[in-house]
Amino acid sequence: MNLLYDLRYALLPETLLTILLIVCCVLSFIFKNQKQKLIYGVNTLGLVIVLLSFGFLSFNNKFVAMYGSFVSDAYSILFRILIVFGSLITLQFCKKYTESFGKSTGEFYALILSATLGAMLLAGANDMIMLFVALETLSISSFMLAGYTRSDKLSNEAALKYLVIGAASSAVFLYGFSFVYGITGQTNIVNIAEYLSRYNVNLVLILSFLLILGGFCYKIAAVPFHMWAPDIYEGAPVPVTAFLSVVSKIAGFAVIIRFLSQIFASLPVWSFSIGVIAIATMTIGNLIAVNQTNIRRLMAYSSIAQSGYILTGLAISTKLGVASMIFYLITYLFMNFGTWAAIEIFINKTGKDTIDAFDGLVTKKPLLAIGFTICLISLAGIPVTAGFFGKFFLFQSIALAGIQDYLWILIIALINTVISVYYYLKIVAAMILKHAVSEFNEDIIKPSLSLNAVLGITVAAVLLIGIFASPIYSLSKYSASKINFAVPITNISQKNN
Amino acid sequence: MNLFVENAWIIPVLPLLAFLIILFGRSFKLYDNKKISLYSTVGSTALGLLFSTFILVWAINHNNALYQHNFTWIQAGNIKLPFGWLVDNLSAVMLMVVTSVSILIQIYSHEYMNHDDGYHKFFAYLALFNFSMLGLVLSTNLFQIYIFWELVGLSSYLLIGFWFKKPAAASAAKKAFIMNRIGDFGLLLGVVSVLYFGYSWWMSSHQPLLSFTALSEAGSFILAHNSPLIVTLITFAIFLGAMAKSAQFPLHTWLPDAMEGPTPISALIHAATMVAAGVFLIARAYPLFELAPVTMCIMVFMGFITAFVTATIAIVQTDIKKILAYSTCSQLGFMVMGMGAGAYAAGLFHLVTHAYFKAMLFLCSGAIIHCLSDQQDIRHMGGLRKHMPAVAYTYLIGTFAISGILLSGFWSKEGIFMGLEAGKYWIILVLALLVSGLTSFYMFRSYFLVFEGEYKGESAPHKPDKVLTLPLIILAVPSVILGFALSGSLKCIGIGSFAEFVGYAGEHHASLILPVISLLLSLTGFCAAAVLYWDKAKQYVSCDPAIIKDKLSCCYNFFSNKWYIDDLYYGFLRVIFLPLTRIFAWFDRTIIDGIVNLVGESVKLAGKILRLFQNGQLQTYTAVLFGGLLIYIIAVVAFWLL
Amino acid sequence: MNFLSLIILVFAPLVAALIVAGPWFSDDETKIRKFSTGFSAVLFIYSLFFLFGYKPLEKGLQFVQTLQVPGGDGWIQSMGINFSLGVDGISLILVVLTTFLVLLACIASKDSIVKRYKFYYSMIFMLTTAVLGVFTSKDLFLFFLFWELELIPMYFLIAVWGSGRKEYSAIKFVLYTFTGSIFMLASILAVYFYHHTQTDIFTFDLSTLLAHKYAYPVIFELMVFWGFFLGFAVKLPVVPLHTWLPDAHVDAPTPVSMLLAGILLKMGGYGLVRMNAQMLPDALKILAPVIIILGLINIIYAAIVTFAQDDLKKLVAYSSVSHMGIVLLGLGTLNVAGVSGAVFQMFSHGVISAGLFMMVGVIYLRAKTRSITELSGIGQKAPKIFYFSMLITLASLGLPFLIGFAAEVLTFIGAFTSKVFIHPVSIQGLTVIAIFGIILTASYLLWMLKRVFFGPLSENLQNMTDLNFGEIVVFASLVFVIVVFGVCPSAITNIFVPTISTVMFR
Repeated sequence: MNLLYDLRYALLPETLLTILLIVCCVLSFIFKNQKQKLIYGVNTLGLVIVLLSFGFLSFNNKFVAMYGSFVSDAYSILFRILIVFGSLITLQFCKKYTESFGKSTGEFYALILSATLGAMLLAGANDMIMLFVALETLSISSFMLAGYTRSDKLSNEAALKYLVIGAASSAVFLYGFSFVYGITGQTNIVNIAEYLSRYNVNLVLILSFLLILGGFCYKIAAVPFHMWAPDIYEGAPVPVTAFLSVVSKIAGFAVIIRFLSQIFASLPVWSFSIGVIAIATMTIGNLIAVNQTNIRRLMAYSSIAQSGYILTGLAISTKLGVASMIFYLITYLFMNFGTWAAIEIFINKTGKDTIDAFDGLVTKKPLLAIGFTICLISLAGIPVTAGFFGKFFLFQSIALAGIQDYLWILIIALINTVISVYYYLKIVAAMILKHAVSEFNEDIIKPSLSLNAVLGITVAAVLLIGIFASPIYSLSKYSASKINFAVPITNISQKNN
Repeated sequence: MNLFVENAWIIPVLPLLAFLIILFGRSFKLYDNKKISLYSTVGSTALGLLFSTFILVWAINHNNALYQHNFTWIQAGNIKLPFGWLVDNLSAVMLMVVTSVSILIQIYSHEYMNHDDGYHKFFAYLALFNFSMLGLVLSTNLFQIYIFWELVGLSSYLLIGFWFKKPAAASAAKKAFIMNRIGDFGLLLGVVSVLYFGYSWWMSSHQPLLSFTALSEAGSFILAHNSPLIVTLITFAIFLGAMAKSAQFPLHTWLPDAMEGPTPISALIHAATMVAAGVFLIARAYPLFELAPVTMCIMVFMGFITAFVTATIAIVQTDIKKILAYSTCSQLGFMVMGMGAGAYAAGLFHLVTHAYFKAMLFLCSGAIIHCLSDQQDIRHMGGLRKHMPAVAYTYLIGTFAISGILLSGFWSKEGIFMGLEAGKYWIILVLALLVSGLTSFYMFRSYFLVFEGEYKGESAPHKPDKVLTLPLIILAVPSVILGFALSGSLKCIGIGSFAEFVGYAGEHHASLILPVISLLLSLTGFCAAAVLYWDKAKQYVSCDPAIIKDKLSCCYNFFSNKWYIDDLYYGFLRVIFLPLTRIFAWFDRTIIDGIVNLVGESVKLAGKILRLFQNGQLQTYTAVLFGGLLIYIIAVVAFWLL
Repeated sequence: MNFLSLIILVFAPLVAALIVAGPWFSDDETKIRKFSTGFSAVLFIYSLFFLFGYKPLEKGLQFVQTLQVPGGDGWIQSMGINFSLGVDGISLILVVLTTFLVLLACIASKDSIVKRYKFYYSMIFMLTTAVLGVFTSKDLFLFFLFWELELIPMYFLIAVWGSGRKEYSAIKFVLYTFTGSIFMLASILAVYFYHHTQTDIFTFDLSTLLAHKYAYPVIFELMVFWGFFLGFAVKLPVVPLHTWLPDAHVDAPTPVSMLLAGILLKMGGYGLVRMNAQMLPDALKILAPVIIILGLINIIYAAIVTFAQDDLKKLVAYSSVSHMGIVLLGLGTLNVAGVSGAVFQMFSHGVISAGLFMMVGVIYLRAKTRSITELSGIGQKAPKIFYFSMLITLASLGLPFLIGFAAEVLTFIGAFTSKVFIHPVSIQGLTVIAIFGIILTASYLLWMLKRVFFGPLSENLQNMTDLNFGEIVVFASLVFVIVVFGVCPSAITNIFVPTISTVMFR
């Protein structure tokens, strides 16, 4: 009864997704490698249903399910919606990719679905055990996805690196968590937070915080856990890359925000430690990106840098900051998927992925070039695009948190935007200024409607959000309001007396 | 009468209209007939002349009458820059001089420029000049005078560069403008500082800002509230403007070069009117100058140096126009000297007389050049009196006038000498007298070489046209009588003295010594010239210029190289200034821009270095991972502990 | 005058850009150009109506309009971001200048733009929207948005249709401006933040922030000041942040150079007057000496560098830098005359520099070279070019009755009568240096005239043609403005001087 209650009011999408997962496996057993289209169709339909099923969850009040290990509130729902939406888009990428190798592909879809499931649980996890399980579900499926093309050496190598570093970071995370458990003896986040709010800061606590933070950094490819990103992005198939760069990153942020801010936000080193990681991440990402010649690697570093920007919102530990992080993540979802869609279309056409292969694209494929340009400009944060608002809201929240305290973060972040403008415009210049060199021998792979649709939708979204940012922003503010930061003990004592 | 005075603004506006008519008429190809350009210009000037005559009469009848009308040209906060027209004795006289001279010269130019394809352009420029000059004369305040000050500079620039195909003309025009800009700099500085140091006075009194009529009170206010040095500096700044415009040493070098322009222009702008504007400015700002004895003293010295230096240069010139140009500088020097010495009236008087006879002399030279088909070198002339008697005699009159032998120049110079005497500038006085001797020497030299003796040129000179000679003859009249008539000697028949008319009449003690001495010196100059260059005189005393030239070769070279002043300027520009600018440009491109590019490069370099870790080696990755984590933890803990 | 809507004024160009860019529009060059020219003409006339409808003596911004964006009352009301526009005297003349120069640029594009017309004109119009937005924004956020929006079209305009190291120059321009603008953003946020701490209200509304009752802490205000200043100093430009300008100008095509020098530099000046002078008067009082000295450096340094330029376009570019020093000087004087001079100088320089770049453009089009040493005696071959160029040059060196003069004189008078004191020399002493600049300016400009137009005709120009009709139109309209407002400057000063004296020195 209780279980059913939970499934109905908190975990409905997850439940449906699980069913879809099983169906998908069964289907791929039934017809080995026929009827790929059918499998694709079923999955897409299923995900749409999952997406719709969020309508049955109440956005306004909070449900704690599974004996407190999972919470479904505005915050987690928003993130889960994003995740499902993300993997729905990923599926559109997969279609072409899976057709490229004629074997049974159900398992590929299955893996994506399981990863999605993990991500969703991660977004709502309210208990360390649940959290870890979800984390591993996501990670392991990702490993397998990354190395999915057995034939491709690069892909396999990338997957291996991903696996090793993933393992390492999980270890780090667990290590940190063990300290917390040692101090509090609790696994439920709420209880931990409640316990720690009466607990004086000491080295162990800080250590555990840093270790856990490090463990999470892996998911969002933040320094120093970013090294896997370039190789994966270059090696792994584009659909997987897109999935990792968006969906699993969103999941990572979801958990970082909820978990860390509820437990550790009271630490004196909070904004410093997160600020340092944010700055290091964006700076290193941007600096290396400047010299890249391969579009995929460049995008890898760019998305590393993007994580850096987003993290700044957490460093200031205000709800407004979280709101702008969420807003940025939403815009990020669109502009990054748009970018990847454009890249995938281009690769499908030319089989090249170097930047100078893009020379003069606008003369050959104007729409593609323009769409790509808009996404890049948005990533660079130039109006009138979603990215501009994303960055602006971040900086605004930093300023409002007390510009005098966070000036260092603000200035460095701003300077980083300048660097990023340089390499984004480099691609734009290649497409629009240069003369065409790469021959577009029509279609190594047939142009896929779904990919074009993805590009179109994302570009439209980027522009729309770039003009009417208000609804999205208020939405993110609402869901951010569900996050309550741990307050330093001193404040409490002040409140008391 | 008042009708004309109250509408004096028409006088400058008419030439402006003429200018616009020619400008649009020609640029839209509305007409091609030279008559239209000619008549519009001459007609406008004629009407101007009419007006000026009436105004002069009005001024004579009401003694020291004054009419001015102001409106605000531009306003910012409580600073209202006025604009308008001021009619008093001074401007009445100047109007008369300018309009009368320029109308004659326009008639003359019709013949002179007839075959030049720039005919219309020429008259357009003439009209533009008239507008600027008359506007300058009628200015009510220092600011307005600055405006027209630059406009006359512009028209002079355009007319010097009239034949801009010739590199010489092009450079001369540029040089004239830039040198005048130096003066403008001074003048603007003076204007602004008069405003600044008298600010509270200007604001409290409701006089229009910077107006001449209020200048004396403002000046005394400034003197009362600041150190005399300030007033000296202000007046000197203004004087700098006058120096540039009136070609005073060391800013005089543009005037001889300006002879590249057509000769009528040299007559009108660079002899009669514009160059006198400096003196006019001094006269206008005289209330200020009187408060600054130091500046006055400087004026005397600068005036004298100019007079002397240019006279010495004039001695050795062989280009007839150059001779006249240097003599102009020299005469302007006399005027400034007079002004400085306090002989205000005498300075102006000399300005007026000089305007007429120097215009005449230039027109003579123009006629000669015209008839000798652009031959300017006096060594290729001679004996021209037989070919062109009218020109010869008018030139002779001019020579007498400028040398101060009885004709108008004599009377006006007398005033200056008396002023020097009254001002106790004894040494200067003596030297100035000698300079006037020099003047008559080089002027007669030119006369003898051009008109007496044998013709040394190759192409046969043809007769000058009536239209060329008529203005000469007309101009000869004032050159002869003006001095005597206005010297105050004719009070009996009701012609008052010029000095009293323009005010500031220095006490006119009839000492006979000075006139006699100067007369003697001038005659000595004449004799010297005659002995050296007049074949008739050679029958009695013969002396060969060549010998003297050899004897005094050092001086000769020094003079013929114009005291090396130009070389000094060009040396400075070539050796110091232009290299300096190149250094600056190098600094700009290499250092400043270098730094900018360096920043960009360093970013790329940093990227390259960081990239080294991304070497695809798993062990490196894990090393970075754990190393980074360790460093990070240490850093944070350190931050926490500190 | 209720048909006057700033929103229409600002967004009409964007619409036009979409119309031109789309596949539905013909690819024929003449059609595109005719449409663009016609449109910009209409826009110009429309903006003139604002000039007539404007009431100089009323305080505050006029024609204020706030757009209601669906999905957010206001725009992003919760954060105090509103889409509202308004103009006062200062911005109005710049708006008109903008539409005017855009029109001329469209006409001038006939010969100098030879490819990718649709793209070109759409970019021009996008730029127009951005610049007009900057001048009319009543909301700091909007101001910043438009400020950034201007980068992309300018980037393409230089990089696609330029010459020489065009891509380098374009990216240099973008990065330079962007770098400046981030500091500006920091300052904007700081002001916003401080207003929130003081009043607990989130607002970017310009007039609210300008008329703040509370006083900023000194250090805070100074930092904010420098933030804004950096942003605008890059645009103006202020030495030593000027090196993007020669590159950008030299490599940009003629019409773009006209816009760049005519309008974009003015964005910097406008910002200085609006933010630094109007929002942070106390900081300005403290820093006025610095501003003045920077202005002097601009005037003299740039003038000296100009002498050594052989590239005609570089020469003009550096002279722009020198003239922009006047704006700084005037701003630093802290009195009505000086600031009016500065604003007037912005307007006059906008017209004059456009003319000078047009001159360079027409010469380059015919002589195929910009090197002064290879040019000579154009005056006798192409009198029209000669006379127009001479007049514009004379205006540039501040000849009376031409538009440059009144601005400079006002500035000098302002500087001379200013109360600002600079240790150890008084400001008057420094102003002398500034006035000395008029000699340098005259020298290099006349020298240029002499070398390019005077003297014997050089061989490579034997078959040089004179102006065609379109070029004559451009020159003539510029000259018209130069002369008319030079003779009666009050026509313009009466529009913005009241604003300055009421708003800035309240």
